[in-house]
Amino acid sequence: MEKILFILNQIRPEFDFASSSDFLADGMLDSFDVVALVAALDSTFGISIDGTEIVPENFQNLAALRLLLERHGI
Amino acid sequence: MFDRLILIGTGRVARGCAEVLAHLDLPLTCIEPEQSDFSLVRSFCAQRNLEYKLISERRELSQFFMNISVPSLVVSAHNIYIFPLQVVKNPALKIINFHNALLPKHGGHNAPSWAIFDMEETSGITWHEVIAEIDRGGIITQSEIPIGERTTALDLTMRCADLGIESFKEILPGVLAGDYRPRIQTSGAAYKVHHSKDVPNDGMLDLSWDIRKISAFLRSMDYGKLSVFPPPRLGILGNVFNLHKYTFLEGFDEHDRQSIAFDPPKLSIISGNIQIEAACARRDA
Repeated sequence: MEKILFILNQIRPEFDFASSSDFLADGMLDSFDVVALVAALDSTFGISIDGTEIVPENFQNLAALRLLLERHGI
Repeated sequence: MFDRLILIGTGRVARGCAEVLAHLDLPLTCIEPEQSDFSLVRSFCAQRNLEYKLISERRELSQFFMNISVPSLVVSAHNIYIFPLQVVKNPALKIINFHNALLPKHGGHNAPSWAIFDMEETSGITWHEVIAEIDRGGIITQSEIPIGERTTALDLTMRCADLGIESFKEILPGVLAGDYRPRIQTSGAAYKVHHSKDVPNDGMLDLSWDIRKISAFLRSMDYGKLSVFPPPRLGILGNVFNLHKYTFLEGFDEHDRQSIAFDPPKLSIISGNIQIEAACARRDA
């Protein structure tokens, strides 16, 4: 979880991701941010998140991101 | 000067402008001209109880703008709708637009890609008045962003969005008061409108380029996993391959070293202290 938060804060240091339950509704991530996040997750965890997985449900909050990584064996 | 505010666009820059406009004591309508899974404007309007419209039909949008009769400021930010002459001529409307390049360079679509592909050292953003010619209206303000040797189209697009919001905050008081002097864009060779179907070098990597041009080409095409462009291609040994991945490796000391090694699926290009490795896949016919 700390690694995810670190990555999120590198992309958007102006936001407190730990206290948000919905990054999209709170205006923290747009589609370009999500693509940058995917690239950082791929590189950090040595995975390849598929384009079909780039949907709002997978990037809504920290719990959703953790589930996404779990599906990639992290 | 204005009785109504209208924001049209998508993404971070549109949401940022909507947030600034929402602080004003004027009715605000936010419009998205295309459906987006990651709509920040829709969620922002829902949170603030602001009027929100999704109008993806061009004719309906034009009708909406033509029907406005009260003095209105229209802020266009990351917006795919092109204002037709009938809308621009509506005397009730003052329309300003955000563009992610230093106009008159790189009007139209995917401007960050073209600035990188042209190996420019600096790009930036422009807020300008809207006239019937695309991205040709008077310049209200411009701000520069340096393009580094590793800057991708995605990086530059995101930085432009952030800078666009900051610049909007600065120009808004003057725009609302009519207290600004737009700078007319000079015509000439620098002006070019890129269409959405245009792709740097038609998407084809040219191995006769020097390494910095190859780097610029790959970075200009790089929006991560967003499919802005089709994958870059490489024609070699009578085949065309899609390039799926590239990396830059540093630390070479032999500055005069030049080599190209192609061992499918791996392409490796070394020049000076830059190495590009690309994973290739034969392109389906």
